[in-house]
Amino acid sequence: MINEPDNFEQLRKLLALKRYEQPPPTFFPQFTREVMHRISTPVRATDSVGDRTWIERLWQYLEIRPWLAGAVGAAACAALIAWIIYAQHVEWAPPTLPVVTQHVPEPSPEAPALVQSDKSATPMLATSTNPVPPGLFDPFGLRIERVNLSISNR
Amino acid sequence: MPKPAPDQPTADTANKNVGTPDTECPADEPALVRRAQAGELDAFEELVRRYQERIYATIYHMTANHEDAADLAQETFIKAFEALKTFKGQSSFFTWLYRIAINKTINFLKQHRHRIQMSLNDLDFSAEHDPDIVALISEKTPRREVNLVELQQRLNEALQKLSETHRLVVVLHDVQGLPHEEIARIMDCNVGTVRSRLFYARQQLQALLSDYLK
Repeated sequence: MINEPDNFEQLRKLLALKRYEQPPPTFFPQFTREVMHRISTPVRATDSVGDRTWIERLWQYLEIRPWLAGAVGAAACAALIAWIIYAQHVEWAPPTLPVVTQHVPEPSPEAPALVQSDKSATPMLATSTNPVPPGLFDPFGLRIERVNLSISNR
Repeated sequence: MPKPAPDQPTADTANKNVGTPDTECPADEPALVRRAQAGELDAFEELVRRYQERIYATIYHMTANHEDAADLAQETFIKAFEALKTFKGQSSFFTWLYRIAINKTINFLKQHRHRIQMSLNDLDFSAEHDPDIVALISEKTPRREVNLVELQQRLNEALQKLSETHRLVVVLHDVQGLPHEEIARIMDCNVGTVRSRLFYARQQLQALLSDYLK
């Protein structure tokens, strides 16, 4: 048998302070009602551990391992940021521009030779990726003439 | 030396006869338990009213968290109701109920070691008039009420540093006032084990609380 030394008496008096820790006065009447309600309801609440969904069990698992929860959160954030960056990179990549071939007609003789027309069909690159609404204007009917900046003697 | 109480609560363990008579067994309790086993909810409600304070207090002193203590105490009584038909009466209902509560609490503490403790700050005002408490706190200190709160916090912190087993013996004996024999029945061990654990736990607490012990 282990004898209790006298110096534990002070400790026991100190531990007596714990007896003064009480919940609010309304706690125990409410507690009884809640227990009896849970017992008497048709769908009786079973043991909380066995009745949890997989999400609740996962949450409980992560709750007691804060370092793992932080790692999972950081990985999720990194994946989200990576996906956003990848999605923006795909949108901003220059598309392959279609080649538009236009037939440039000769200028009429009455008009001043302000430009020198190029009789050959000049392949030109469409500078806009937006499709031209049909009927707005006919891009293939445009007269495109090069500017001749030389001074001609008339 | 027999093993301590098992981690998983089982009705067979709760019914194990330790040999010595129980110290607490009201005369009408066996009849009350039989009526509850027969399905009378009024009888079980009476059992809840009789033991809810002690069950809650034990769980609270172990967890130092009011919310957890309330949840675990509810689950204890619900588990007791579900397992009521397996109660053979070899021990008192009190002992059997305590075992369920303690097993649930210890399992909970092992799963939630990082739980934040929230102590009850609603100290009874009579605490500052307790002669033992007054003896511990100098009357010359102008803010004695602050010292009471600080003392409570330090006490709870020190208790949480003990292992669950050692904390339990201190709570049951020094806080709840249960005798060694009853604690041995509840913890499913012999009286010598209870005494040795209690001695070790007190030594640890004394070292942790040396500033408050004269």
